[in-house]
This record gives sequence, C-alpha cells and structure tokens, in this order.
Amino acid sequence: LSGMSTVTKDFKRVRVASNTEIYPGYFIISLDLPEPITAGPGQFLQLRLIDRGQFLRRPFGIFDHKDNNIDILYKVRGDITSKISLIKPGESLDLIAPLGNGFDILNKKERPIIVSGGTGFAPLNFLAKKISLKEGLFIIGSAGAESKVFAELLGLAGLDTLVISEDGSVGKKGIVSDYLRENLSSDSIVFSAGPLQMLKSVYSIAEDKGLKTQLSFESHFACGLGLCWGCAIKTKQGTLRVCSEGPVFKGEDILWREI
Amino acid sequence: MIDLGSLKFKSPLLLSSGCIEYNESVKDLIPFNSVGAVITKTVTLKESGGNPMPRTSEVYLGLLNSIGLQNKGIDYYLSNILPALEDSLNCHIISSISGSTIEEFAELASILDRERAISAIEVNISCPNLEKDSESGIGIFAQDDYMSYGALKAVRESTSKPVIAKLSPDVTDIRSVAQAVSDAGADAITVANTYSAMAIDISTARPKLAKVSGGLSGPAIKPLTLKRVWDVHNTVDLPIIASGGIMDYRDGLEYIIAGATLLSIGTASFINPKAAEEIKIGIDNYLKDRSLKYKDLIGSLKIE
Repeated sequence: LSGMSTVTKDFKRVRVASNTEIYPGYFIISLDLPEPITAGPGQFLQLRLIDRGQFLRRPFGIFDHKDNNIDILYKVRGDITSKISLIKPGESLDLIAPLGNGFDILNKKERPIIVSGGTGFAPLNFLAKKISLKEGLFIIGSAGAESKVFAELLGLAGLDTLVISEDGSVGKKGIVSDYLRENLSSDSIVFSAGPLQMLKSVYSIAEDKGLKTQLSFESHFACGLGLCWGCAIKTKQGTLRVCSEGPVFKGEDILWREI
Repeated sequence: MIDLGSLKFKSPLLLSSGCIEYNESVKDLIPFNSVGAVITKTVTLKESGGNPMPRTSEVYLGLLNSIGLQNKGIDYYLSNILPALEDSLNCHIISSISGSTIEEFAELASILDRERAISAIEVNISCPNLEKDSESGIGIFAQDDYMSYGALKAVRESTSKPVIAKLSPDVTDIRSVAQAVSDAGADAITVANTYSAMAIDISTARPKLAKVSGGLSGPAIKPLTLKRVWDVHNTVDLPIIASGGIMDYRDGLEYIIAGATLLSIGTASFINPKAAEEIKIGIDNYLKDRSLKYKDLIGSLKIE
C-alpha cells in the first residue's frame, strides 16, 4: 500500500452522513462521496462550505476512509470549523480529495511507534487501522482528557496505547516526548503528527537512536493544490511544498534549523 | 477567437502567473486546455529561494501572500518546466519574467525570444514582495514611470514576441505608467498585480506574514482594479488583461465592459479549480442572451 492516490483528483459535492461531537469542541464528520475513491493514510482533503461565506478552502487529514466514505476528526478553532460543526446530516459540502503524499507503510520487520499530539491523532488513526499491527505502540497526547476518547475511538486489537494528558486528567501526565524514549527499541519506526514543536522533539529523540521517522506537517495553505508555493518547507531536496510533496516527510530529509 | 495583437485566443480566460503550477497531479483538476493561455510563474535569471514562512494569510474576502518569486532560474525553466508544458498544453504559454535591473529584464527577454513554445512575454515590473535593491535604491519598477519605460523598452528591443507589461495598482495615477509602457512599445498591459497589504495577529501583536507585508488578491480588490482598468482603457490604445479578484462571470463581464480584452484568473482557482472554465461559459451565455459579440462588449460602459 502506498500513500499515493490511484484515482483522478476531482472536486465534488459530498453528502454529510453524520456530524457528531465526540468530546467538547471535537467532532467527527462523516462524508458520503458520489463514488468510491482510493486514499491512503496521511493524505488530506480540501473542504469548503457551500453558500456560507467561506473564502479559501480548509485542509483536513483523513481520520478514516473506506470505499466512498471519508471521516474527518476536527476541533472547533475558528469561524469555519465552528460553521462546519453546525452542519446537519443530509447537507452538502464541497470537497477536493485525496491530496498530498501520505505515509509509506513499513515493512513487517519494523515495530511501529505512532505518536500523536492533539488533532494530529486524525491521520494516525487511519494509518494504525491500515497497517493492522501485530505489535507496536500508539502514544496519544493531548492538553486535556481528549486523548482517552481518541484511544477509545481507535479500539484496535493488538495495538497497545499509551494515553497522555498535559493536565494529568487522564492517563499519564506530561507530553508525548516525555514517554517516547523509553518505548523505543532498535527495530522501531516512528510515525507522528501534531504541532511543529512536538515533531521536532519526536525527531530528535528518534534520530538520537538512529531510527527512521515519517512525520506529517501542518502549514498555512492558500490553495492546498500545489499551485501557489505558500506552504514551503526547507528540505535536503530543496524547498518543497507541504501540500504536494508532503504533508508526510521523512524526518531526516527536513532542514530542521531552517523551519 | 479573440485577438491580442498578432495572437489569437480561443478563450479570453487566462491563468495568472504565480497562481498556477502545471503538474501531472493537477492536470485533470485545472482546465488547462480550455483556457486561452497559461502565464507561468515568474522566472528570474538566477534561482530565488523565496520568502520565509508564513507566506500566506486569509483576510476578509482576500488572500495575502508573500511568496517572493521563488523559482529555480531561467536555465531550469527552459530545460524542465517549458518542455513539459509544451508537451501537455494546447493553449498559449506566456512567460512572466522579473529582474532587479533593466539589463536582467533584457537578458531574460533575449533568452526567451529563441523559444518557439512561448507565445508572449509578460514583464512583471510590479511584484510587491521584492526587497529594494540596496545599491540602486530601486524598489517596484512599476511605481516609477521612467523605470517602467526603461524595462519595457529594453525587453521590446530584445524580442520580437508580443510584450505585456504587468503594472502595479499601488500608484498615485496608473495612467502615467500605462502611457510610459505604451510609449516603450508594449503590446498589451496587465492591470494589475496585487496590492501591498498586511494583517496582524492581535493575540501576539505579530504580523501574519513573516515578511510583515505582502500582496492582496481576491474579491476584496476587484472594485479597485476595475477602476484602474477603466483608467488605462481611457489612456492608451492597447489591449488590457484584467487581473484582480475575478471570481465569477459577472466579475469578468464588469472588467470587459470597463475595457478589458482578456481576463486573468488567479486566486479563484484555489477555491474553484474549474473557475476559468465556468467564467467562460457564463460570459458566452450572457453574450448569446443579448445577441452581442465579444469584441463589442469591450469598453462598452454606458455613461449618460
């Protein structure tokens, strides 16, 4: 399985099947597409409300996907996500998907360590379900108790989870990087998504042990389609676009001091 | 067919420079082959890394950007970008160029003059995101009539291809710059580039763009640029490419009535990748409903 899409990208109106608050301020919206598409973990979509005064599209990672259904996990942060949270089942949204390059699924000898911070959990949930782990660990971090809710959503047999909250309300108290080092072994590979500072810590801990990382980056997107070069990131291969060459990059390819 | 000097366009809709990057992954999403031309991202002589992040910020009905003419230079453009476009597109390819001196503009034009694949050269003398040259003290060429004349004259003498001057809207009176580039021998004028603008995050008191300011595009600027198209139309006898917040066919029609011959679509493609195609259909229907010819609509503003 590769992160690349095998279908033609298109944009289309999609029907909202459900839009449920799973934790205060966090929603899962389930979208029914007109036909099945192929999208891999780490790819994203560009969403726009119809006739509600939204200007630029907003990118969202894919939380789960099968056939003609896509689920998105989102947090209400501003005007647009607030409006999305009010969408009722049966209403329509305008969608471009799938976009970007996702995670490369590992070979079976490697032990996956998945590390999420906040809504970085969304694309990693899809990844965890796709790689059907025999053994491995999913470290789920958040500010409050949402990490426990995420772990319950995952509900994946054979995968250990470690729940962490900054306020100590659920699981272990602290941030994910506090618990990463002790859970790494020589056959680990690290997948991560979350805030940039967290990705930096995750990379530096993994690199210290000589381990490979695949990290999903967030950026300011204007188009999200590779047209405008607004989401540049400095890499060893030159300046690349988070939306097109990413959002998933190998940690060793990033010029960390320049971002 | 719409004429722009010696060039014929199958559609009046163009894809603006800097808002389009042809590649395999978007070839089916963007209607490359139904537009009149693709104006490629501005190329400079040498590679330019572009500006630090964040480079974009959404504002009310608009988009701020400070990409900073990131490109790999003219050699890469000729060896990698142009051949791919030539193989894939059946519309005009217009190359946008920028330089920090008049000599650089001339050199780029003479290099591109040899390329059969290129239908015209758009001279970008108006990017708001370049640093002022520390030696010459020159900022945006298009804010100075003499520099604008000089750049266009140099390009004119370096190529036999049609030459388009892309003006800045950030001037006291755009008519004098339009006259200057017309006198220099430009074949057409693009009105206009983005507006110098900024936004501040009040929670941190920091600018929303790393470079503090950038260029404003989108629906917020349409009435402003419309006035400038009208002014240029009433000043010089050159075809105008309108570029500024065209989101739907009604915006396009306003620009044509104000004097534009062609319409350039930029930010709208980010939201609706098929915008150029849909605007073309809307304009065709409008003309059909009123039994009008396209060329009769150009500059047809009625004033009592």
